[in-house]
Amino acid sequence: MMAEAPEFLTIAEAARRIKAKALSPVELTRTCLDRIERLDPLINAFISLTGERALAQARTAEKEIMAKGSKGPLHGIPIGLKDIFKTKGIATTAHSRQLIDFVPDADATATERLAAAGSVMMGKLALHEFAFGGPSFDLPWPPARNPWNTERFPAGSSSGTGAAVAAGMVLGGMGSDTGGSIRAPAALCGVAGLKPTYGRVSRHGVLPLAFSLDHVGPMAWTAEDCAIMLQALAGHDPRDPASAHRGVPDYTAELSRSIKGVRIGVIRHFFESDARVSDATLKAIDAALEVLRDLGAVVRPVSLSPLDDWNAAGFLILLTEGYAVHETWLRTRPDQYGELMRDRIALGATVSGADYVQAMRRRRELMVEMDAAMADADILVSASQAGEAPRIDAIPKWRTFEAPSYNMPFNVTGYPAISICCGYGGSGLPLAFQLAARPFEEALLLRVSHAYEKATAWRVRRPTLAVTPPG
Amino acid sequence: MPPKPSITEDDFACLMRRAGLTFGAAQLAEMYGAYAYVEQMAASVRRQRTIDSEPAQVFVVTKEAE
Repeated sequence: MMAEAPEFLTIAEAARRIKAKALSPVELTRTCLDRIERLDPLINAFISLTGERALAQARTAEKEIMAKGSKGPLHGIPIGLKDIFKTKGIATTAHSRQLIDFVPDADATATERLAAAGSVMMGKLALHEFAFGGPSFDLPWPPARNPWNTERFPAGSSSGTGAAVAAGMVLGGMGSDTGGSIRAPAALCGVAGLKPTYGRVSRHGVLPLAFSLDHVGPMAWTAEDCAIMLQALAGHDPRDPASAHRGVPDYTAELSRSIKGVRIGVIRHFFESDARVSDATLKAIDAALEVLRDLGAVVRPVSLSPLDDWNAAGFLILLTEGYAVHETWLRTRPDQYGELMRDRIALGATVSGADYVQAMRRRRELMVEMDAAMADADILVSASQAGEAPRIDAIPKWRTFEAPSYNMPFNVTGYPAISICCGYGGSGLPLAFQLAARPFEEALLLRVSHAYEKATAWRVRRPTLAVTPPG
Repeated sequence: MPPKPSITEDDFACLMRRAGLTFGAAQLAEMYGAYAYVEQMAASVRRQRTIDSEPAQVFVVTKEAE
């Protein structure tokens, strides 16, 4: 194939070029490997790099494309997996000493589906230990750092995926999200991160944190790329008891349709008074709403229970279910955890059975409340993070409980939600806002997000580190 | 940090021991402080509701479970 400079392509653009045989999957993979070699010592996004395997997959993809044409937009595209997605024959560590030697004998469903779509798996990506404890400096691997400024926090728990996508080391990646673990790193790393509806994407083969809150989903540079990945991932899986029996729409077919008349409800009190975001974030969200208004959306305020209520129910459930998952190891080999994971999740031992059921009763009330709010709104908008990324060495141990999450409400309800970049703050770091839709309305959610991205120029900028290497 | 937990540090240590968890004194003291968040959350989800108010984890019987 003829080689073109594949610098910072989106999945959509790379797929167009690969399909037209203007871009070689092997060259694209080599470009990503070169970038990983150059940048990862500074960013620590990868726990394990499977370079030779990736090149072999890329060569296979290239042969298939030359012989029979591309089988779809992920054919030959380099991706990465958060290291809680099981990979047959490749270590899956959860970024924990507990699983340092764990090599699964089967793939997660998501791993299988992305491979079946022809993607090239570059390696396993860093996370907060077991998707809850981080950033930790006492684990066998260092924490991932934010490529926009390596002194800054990339958020988590899908920290490596957010960092790797932002730095162009992969074109897309997988994250998991129990209380914001896709959307938070997407926000601070300036990428798009989609938490699909609970049950939309199989969790089979993904190491759990809290069963009733866990979601898995794509992270990529754009909403369009998330749509492409979701297309490969979505669909019923009998091996996941929460998997939905629902048809899978064409997520890319209607991306470019107008959003005229779409009703957007803004949960302004979440980010203006319940937990006020930075002035720059507030300004950026208001500007984003203006853009959506200009595109024909109808924007109005929506009021829900205070943000703390959603977090109380969500984190009680998370602590209880998470503690149950880790109970045996907490008793028998607590020293094999990092301090943050161990001490945070051990608090789950203090939650009573009645507390858990009351949290689940509150959860139902909150679900009914959000459902009612969406009778007059097609999309809900809130903040995704409070501001620009803080310093990575200044994250309090109990931050999870001290600062309410803007993301958790949509884990409590299971509604699909996405974090989208909406500008840059005074330090040049990304800002983001969050959009959510009714269950299984990812197509609309992605269409509105795509319309916003197309109407703004935020997707042009990449981390300076990735564009201009040091030295 | 939220206000001090309603139980004593000894009571908290007892909860941990009952769960079979072993921690050093300094670690327990730090976790005891954070336990106030758990109490706050547990209080928040307790509302006046009817006796038949259903939780979210009720389920529909599927073929798998029949």
